[in-house]
Parts: sequence; structure tokens; C-alpha cells
Amino acid sequence: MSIPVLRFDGVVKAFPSGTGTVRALDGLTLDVGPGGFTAIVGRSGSGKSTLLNLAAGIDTPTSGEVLVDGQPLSRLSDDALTRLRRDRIGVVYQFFHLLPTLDVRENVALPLLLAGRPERDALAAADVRLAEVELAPRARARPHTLSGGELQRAAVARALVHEPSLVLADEPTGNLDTRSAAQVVELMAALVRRHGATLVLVTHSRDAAAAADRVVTLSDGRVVDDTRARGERAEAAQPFRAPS
Amino acid sequence: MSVLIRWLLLRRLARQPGRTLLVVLGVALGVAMVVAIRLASDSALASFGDTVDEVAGRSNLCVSAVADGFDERWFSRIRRTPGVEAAAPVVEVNTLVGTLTPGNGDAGVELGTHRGFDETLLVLGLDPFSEAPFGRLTDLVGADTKAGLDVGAGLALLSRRNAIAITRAFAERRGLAAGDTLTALASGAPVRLDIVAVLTGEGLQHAMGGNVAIADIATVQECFGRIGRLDRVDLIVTPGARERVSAALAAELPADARPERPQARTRQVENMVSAFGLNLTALSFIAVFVGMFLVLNAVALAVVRQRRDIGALRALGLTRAGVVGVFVLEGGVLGALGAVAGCALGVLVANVALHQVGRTLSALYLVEQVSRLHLSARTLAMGLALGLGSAVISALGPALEAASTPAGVTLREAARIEERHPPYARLALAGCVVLLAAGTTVAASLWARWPGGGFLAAFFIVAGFSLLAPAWTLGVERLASLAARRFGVAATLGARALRENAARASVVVAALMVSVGLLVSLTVMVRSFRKTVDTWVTQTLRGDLYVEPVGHHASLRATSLPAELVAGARRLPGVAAVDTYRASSLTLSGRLAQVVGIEFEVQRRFGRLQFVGGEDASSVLGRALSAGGVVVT
Repeated sequence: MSIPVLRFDGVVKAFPSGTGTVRALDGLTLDVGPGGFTAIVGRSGSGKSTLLNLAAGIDTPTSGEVLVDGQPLSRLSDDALTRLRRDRIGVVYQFFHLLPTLDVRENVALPLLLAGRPERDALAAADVRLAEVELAPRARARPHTLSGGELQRAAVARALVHEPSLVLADEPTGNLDTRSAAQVVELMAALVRRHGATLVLVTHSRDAAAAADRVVTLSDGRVVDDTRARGERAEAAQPFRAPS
Repeated sequence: MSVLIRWLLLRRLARQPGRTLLVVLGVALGVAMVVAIRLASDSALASFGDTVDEVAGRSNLCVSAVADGFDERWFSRIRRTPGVEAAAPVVEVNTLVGTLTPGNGDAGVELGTHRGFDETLLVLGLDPFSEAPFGRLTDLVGADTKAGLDVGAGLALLSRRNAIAITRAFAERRGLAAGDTLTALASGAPVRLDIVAVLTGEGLQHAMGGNVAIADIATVQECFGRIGRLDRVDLIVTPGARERVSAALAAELPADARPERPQARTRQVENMVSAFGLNLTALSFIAVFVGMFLVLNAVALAVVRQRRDIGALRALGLTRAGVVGVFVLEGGVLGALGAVAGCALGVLVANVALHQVGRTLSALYLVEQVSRLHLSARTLAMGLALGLGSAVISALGPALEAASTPAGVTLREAARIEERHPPYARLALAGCVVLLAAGTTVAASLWARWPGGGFLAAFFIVAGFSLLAPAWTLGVERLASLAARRFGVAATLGARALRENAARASVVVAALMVSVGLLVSLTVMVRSFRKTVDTWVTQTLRGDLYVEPVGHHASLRATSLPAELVAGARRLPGVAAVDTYRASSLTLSGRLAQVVGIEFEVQRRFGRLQFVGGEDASSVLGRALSAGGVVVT
């Protein structure tokens, strides 16, 4: 049995709120196997984005464990977590988060530069990804001149430029019109398949989720539904056991 | 890494030229103040050192007057001391010079002014017959005998009455040449000096800014009322015998002369000027403090504006150290640019301030006019290190804060992070503790008579008030909010923005507070100083009329009022009393001190001197008068 690319084992994430705390994730247990496209859906406040931030290691759980490629994130130092993100994870955000001082090509090349790749190599790789997302003509444009759809395609190119094994997308269609949203989801699905990566997409859009191989529904920080694309009900995630 | 620096830092700075320029200027002003003040005061000291070195020649020991010269009859005894190979007597007089000609119906001097006498000249009286072993005259005149002191001119110096040789620098500045006449003030009376030669030796062109003249020793003694007195005897003693000769001379010499190394005079002046320099430097550091606040605010603002970008970069794989590096480097770049600009500006300002600092040093410490800036690599390096170091330290706080905030929090909350309020109460408490420390330091430094404590206390005060700035800002915001309601929504929003950005606003408030504080403290200090002088004048000077020789401030001990003038004043009808005053400097434990002679009887009757312990001036001065005692500050 292959090791899940992403595993949540009894994860609780609580945020302070007023005088008490709010549990964004409440004992979440979930496995995401290698390859394929998993959509996480749920209403606003159901814990979708929190799940993604924990998966990317940019937030830490209150309790429980998150594993990426079998590696418990809680045991990694901050630098090791950063390296993990840099080498094996690509992230696409709802608000794109492209740096305004860099042009599109430089934004896409940034993860490779952060990994220590020479500028020329990084820019060449960025050109390839930009061609894949059909943004080559806008490579030298500054982000503020791009449309929402173009910005998100640039963000997708950036998330894939270092060929990660896991791509996390947080509401990537949230700021796009229907047509652009469909294009972006289709593009992401095609690209991760082409590169053999695993895509976990958080969305509140049923349309976006429709393209996924698996749809996990969250409510109040728990998995309330887990459906394969073929309509089968997935097995309930098993409690985590440390690999022997 | 260089690509990341270019992409993430330099490009951002270049795209915000206004903000970058303002911060660089802030740092530059602070550095410029420190550099300018240090360069100007060091130049004044170096000028004095140059003069001492040039005038000392090959001398390796000298006998100097402790106060107002010593009897010239000691010269032959000094020369006969075993171990002394050569000796040369020197008389030095600072005098005011002008180009007015006395004896043309216009004495050139107006009552109560020294108009027309606008420059100080150091006149060195040397004995040409003793000078040969010192090579001083030869060195001073230079190799080019056509432009220098040829045999004829040398003889003229000896044989002609009131003959002097001036430096090329002085001659060029005043448009003088051999054959011209110069008028100097001697005890308030104009004296005609004939220029017989122009000195071309390089050394003296810079000593005192070139304001040096050489004359025969007898000429100087005659012209400036120094007959029978010597200021110094320069000696060449057998190598290795200096200590022995010095001890022998010390045992033999009268109380008003003592042996010392020529360089000791520079050290005395260094000691004297060091407090002046320290004060100015400490004040200039406040400007650096203001610059630090500017950098702190600039970097903090950069962090605020890029909060989401920082989160995105962390998510993309930039380490915490990388985040710290980017912002510390930003501080470093701003600091480096500011430091370089500040050093350049400091040199320019020093050039402008040189004359003013020279005048102040001259007035306060009798260190004479400075005309050349001595560029000190150490001062420039200090300026660079100060600008760079202070900027990096200022940037460190916001950089660490940016790096320590988890990427998830940064991406999730972004701008809301800035809305978090600083810990007002804790900061205010810390400010009070630091101010208490300032008070304790002041008390301790007064008790221990430790001037450095004053500067430490000043630092504590600035730091203490800076820590109080957030609480103060909050207080002002609350008051402003009440008032703002009357001025509509915009005013209310403005007041609210202050609260929501309290952390950053406090930094700006602290920066303004320190700079306004500096202005106020300087004004108060200057006024207090004036008040002190006023009190001193009221206490000590009760005369209705004062008479002093014109140019006294330049020539000091070389000026005196004729005895018949004093006697005449005493005889004038309506004159109740005449108090004579004679001041001279002497060396005490390596430091210069003033000795002032006044008439105790007149002070006892009319003065208002106040004494420690509250004892009546009349009884103290009466006791001093009967016991032949002195009064010390």
C-alpha cells in the first residue's frame, strides 16, 4: 500500500475568538493518495483554508498530526518545513499573491531562485511553464496589468515551476468569472496530471469540484462526505499508524 | 542570493524613490552632524598640533613658562646644564593685525572696537644665533632662496627695527609682499611691522592656517612689552639623557618654568578641548538617534506594506533567516547610502563650520584660527560605521517581527496584524523605570563628579521618553477623538487611524519627540548658559566702566595697560575704586588653568562673590588678603 501524499490524523486547529476559542478543524482525519485531484468543499468557515494552510506547513495544528509524504510536519524545524514547501509543495492562492515589483516571468521563477537555482535556469523554466498556461506573451507584464484569469494562470505556473509532488490550491476560482474559473481548474487538473503531481483544491464552488477525482466535504471542521468521481463512497479514513 | 536581493529589495527601493530618499537623507543628516563636528574640532586641534610641531623644530626637550613667561637670565643657566647640546630662546605672541598705518593722523583703533584688526597672527621671536643646530630657520624658509629668506633678508630681520617675515599663505591671502607694512596691536596700541621676507617652507603654511610670522627675539620683546621675558627655551639634549636633563632642570628652575617634551603642549590642549569636543559629539549623536527612528519607521512601514508578500514568500520557500536578511539588508542599504551621503555632507558642513568652531575654540581655549580641514580617515570610518550600524540595528526589530510571524498568520490576517495594539502599559512602565535610571545616573554622576554620567543619563532620558511614546500617542488619540467629532467623519477617521496604527505611529511620535526635544534642550541650554554668564557678571563685575587694551582677547598675557593709565584712573574725580585685573594661564597636573589677579580689597568692599558654605565674601577676602592666600573655584 502506497504512503499517502497527505495525511491528517485527528487534527484540531483552534483559534482564539473573543473570550473563548473556535475550532476550525475538529479532529480531522483524512488521507490523500498520490496522483489525482482531490477537491475539498464546504461552506464558508467549514475549515477548508485552515486545512490547506496546515497541509502547506505554514500553520501548525493545535493537536493531531499532519504528514506530507509520510513525514510528520510537527517534527520538522521551521527551516526544514520551508525546504519541504520549496521542494515538494506548490501553492495557489485565491488572491494570487504575485509580487507587484516583479514581472510575471520573475514571479513564476521565484520558487526556483529561492531553491538556489541560477537566474538563467529559473527564468528558462518559468518561460516553459508560462507557455503551458498560455501566458508567454504576457511574460514581461507587471501583475497589476493582468486580468484575474491571467493572474491565476500565472500563479498556477508559479506553483508548478519547481515540479512539486503536491499542489495545494486555496479557492483559486474565488475571484474569477465563471469562464475563467473553469479554464483555470481545467488547466490545473491537466497540468498536475501531466506532471504526475497530486492536486488538493479547496473550493466552495461545486463546478470547480466537479472536475475532481474525489470530493471531500467539510462541515464544522470535520469530514461529512467523501465521494469518488465515479460516485463511490470512499472508505472512512483510517486512524494514523506510524509507518514501521 | 544576489538576484533575490536585486529582485526583492533594490527594485522596491528604486520604485519608491521619494521614501528611499527621505530615509537616506534622515540618516545622512545624523551622520553629517557627527562627522562635521568631529572633523571641525579635530582640525582645530590638528592645526594647533601642526603649529607646535613646526615651531618645535628638531627640539627634543623644552623649558616652558608655566604662566606669564620667565626671566630670560635663566637662558644661560639652562644652556650650561650638562647634557644640553643646544638651546634656543623663543617668545611667542598672538596679536591682531591689520593693514592700517599708524601715525597718519589715524591710529586705526576706535574706542571700544578693534575695527580694521581682523586677523590673529602668531609672531615667533627667535634668536638667529642660537637657531643653527635646530635648522629651524632653514627649514622654515625652504630651499628656494629667491622666494625665501636669503642672507640679506635674514640680516634685515636682525638689524632692522620691527622687521618680520610672514608665510606665503598669509601673504597671498592678504595680498602682501616683502617691503609692505603690517600693523599689529600691542597692548592696544598699533605697532608697525615691516615685512622683509616671505617664508616658503611648507610646514608653516598650514600651522595656524599660515598665520605665523617670524621676527628677531628682541623685536618681539620690544614691540609686545615682553622685554626680559621668555616663553620657552627649546633644547637639543644628548640622546638617552633626556630624563636626566629634565630632572636636573626641574630641580634647578624657578616655579614659573618647567621642562617638558614639546608634544606635551599638544596634549594639554587636547585635554582642554576634549570636553568641548565630547559635548558637541554627544549632541550630534542625538541626530543619529533621530535617523535611527526614521529607519525603524521606514522598515516597519515596508514590513506593513508587504505583509502579504512576506507570507507568500514564506509559503514559496523563503526561510525566516531570509526574511530577516531582506529587511536588515534594507536597513543596511538605506544606512550605507545615508552614511556615504552623510560623510560627504559632513565634510562640506565641516568646511563651513570650521571657521565658527575655530573661533569658539579660540575664544574659549585660546586655540588659534584654523583654516584647513584635516580629513581624518578614522572620523569618516566612524561616520560610515555609525550610519550603517544604527540603520541595521533599527531594521532588526521590524525584520525579526516580520520573520517571527507565522506565514499562515501573515497570509490570513495581513493588515490586521498592524491593528494589534502595542503593550501600552508595559512600555510605559519600562519608560518610567528607564527615566528613574536617568535620575539615579544624574545623582550618581553628580556625586562621583563623573561627566560621562550626564551623557548616559541623556541617553536614558531619550530612551525613556521613547518608551512612553505609545502611551502618550494613545492619550493624544483619545483626546483627538473627542475633538474630532466636531469636525466630521474625516477627522474622526483620521483620529481612529492613529489608534489602529498605534505601533507605527508611536515610532514617528518618538522620532519627532526626540528631534523637538533636542531643539528645546539646546535652546534651554543656551539660555541657561547666558543666564549663568549674566549671574557671574552681576556677581563679579560691578564696575561702571571697563578699560582693556584693544586686541586683548588675542594677545592676552602679551597685553597690559600702562601703569600710568591705572594711576590716572584712580585720580579721576568721582572714581570710587579701581580694580585691576590680570589673567594668565598655567599648567596644573597636565591641564591648563586660569590664574586671575584681582584686588581683594576692592572686591571685599564692592564685589558680590559668593562662597561655598555661604560665608560672607568680605570676611573670606579679608582673610585671604591678610594671609596672602588665593581663592579657588
